[in-house]
Amino acid sequence: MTVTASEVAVLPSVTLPWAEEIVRQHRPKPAGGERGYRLYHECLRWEFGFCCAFCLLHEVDLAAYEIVGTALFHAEHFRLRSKDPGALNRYSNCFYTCCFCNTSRGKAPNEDSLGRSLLEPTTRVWSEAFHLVDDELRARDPGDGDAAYTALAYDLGDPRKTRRRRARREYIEKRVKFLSETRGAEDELVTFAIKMSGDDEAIKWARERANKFKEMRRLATDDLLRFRAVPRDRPTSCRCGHNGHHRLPHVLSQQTSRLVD
Amino acid sequence: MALGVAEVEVSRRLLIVEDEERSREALASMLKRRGYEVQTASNGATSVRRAGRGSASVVLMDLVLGNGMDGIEAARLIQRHNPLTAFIVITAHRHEESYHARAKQHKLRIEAWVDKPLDDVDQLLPIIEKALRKVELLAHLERVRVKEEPLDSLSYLRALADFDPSIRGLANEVRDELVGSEAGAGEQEAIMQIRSEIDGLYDEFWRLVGPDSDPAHLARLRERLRELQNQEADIVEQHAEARFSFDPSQGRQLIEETRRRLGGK
Repeated sequence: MTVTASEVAVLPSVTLPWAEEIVRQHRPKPAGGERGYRLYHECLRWEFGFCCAFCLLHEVDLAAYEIVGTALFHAEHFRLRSKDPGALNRYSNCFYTCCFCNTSRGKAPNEDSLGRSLLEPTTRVWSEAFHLVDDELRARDPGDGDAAYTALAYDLGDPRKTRRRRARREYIEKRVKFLSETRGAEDELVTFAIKMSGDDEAIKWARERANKFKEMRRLATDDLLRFRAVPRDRPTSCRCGHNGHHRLPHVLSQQTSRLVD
Repeated sequence: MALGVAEVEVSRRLLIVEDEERSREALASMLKRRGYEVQTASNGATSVRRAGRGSASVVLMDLVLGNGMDGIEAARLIQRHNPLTAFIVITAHRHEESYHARAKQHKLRIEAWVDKPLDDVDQLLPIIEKALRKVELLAHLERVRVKEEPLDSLSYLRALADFDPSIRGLANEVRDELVGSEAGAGEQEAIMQIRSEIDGLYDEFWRLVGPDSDPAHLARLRERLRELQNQEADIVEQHAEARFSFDPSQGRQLIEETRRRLGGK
């Protein structure tokens, strides 16, 4: 989706599990050292559309958790560093994850004792494995052991995630509903004022009402702009050395809508 | 060393927005003599244009301006395009509630409300300096967020305050502004305790899970985990609402009242 300069891509009320595998666009220069993978951070933010690769929460969803004062998103090593030391700074092994997914998995292995394997969204279509039920991301098929193990390892049912997802849905739906119901309200009030010509009290009421609608529509729009898919602090450069691929992944951009800033 | 905060380049340019020419020029001249680079604007629209060119770090704003746009509206538009800008309101209407309410509603970064007429321009200097220092710190944080993630702004502020105690008060103020909430240290501490217990439960869960594990014990762990996660969400969500301006119940009321008057349309 192309967004013009004055337009902002706004997140959907509910981010549906990706309908395709995520195809990595970034090819950062390999980093070395104990914490070299941190240098991929900008690439990872763009690569996964500023969303957790596993639970799909966006950075803006977790903004309320800033009061805790700890980092909200991390680089997750899909292949554990302890099992595969070479995976530490391998870009394809790094995924952008929220602090909750990152913590819950901890050192859970890629394959559990029942032979179930963890899934990741560059090799598995997320919507085939997971779906949303009452704002909770769950394994779609209880018989799909890999999806069940992934949901367990990343604790996709963590209520902190479900409640943030619900909060976004409700915030956006209420504002969109108001904007949609009041589209044309000011025109209607102008028509009313014309019809009431001579009745100063009615005209004054209509003018005040029209101003009130204008103000509340603006507040609702400002709130929606908080859900911008590309945050204001988006990285303008990354380790790839160019920014031609600084765009949202297709699986997210096709779910966004446009709003004029 | 102050972690390079002092080295961050933020303009020391001020913008004075005042419709009364004599006051405007007098204040500009006095501030220029004290070493600031000063721009002026006589109305809201001009101030938004001047600030839009991205220069002034601090705006000294009168509230009652000509040409239909008052100081709060002008500040809102300026802040929308330059979120780091700080405002010092200089007004004869300092005690009018409606201005404060709108400033709060738009989350304007107002450093101080100063009475007009100004008795002594020097009373402004510490306020201007503090506002400039805050803008510097915020600008620095923005750069850190972009360059050095995953250290987020708040943990960076905490590290900054620990490293350089002389700016601890300022760092805490900026943190409160960034968070935009009344969350106190007690709540943060409560969350950190909850997180610590959650981490312990995850560790225990992954240590025990396997073919020989006791399902009842694992279920109890999960139950306690859910309880703690909900507790944390309860604390955080008390502050989440404060980030939004639109009140859906007021919107609903407005629609219904208007419909009644317009005859059920």
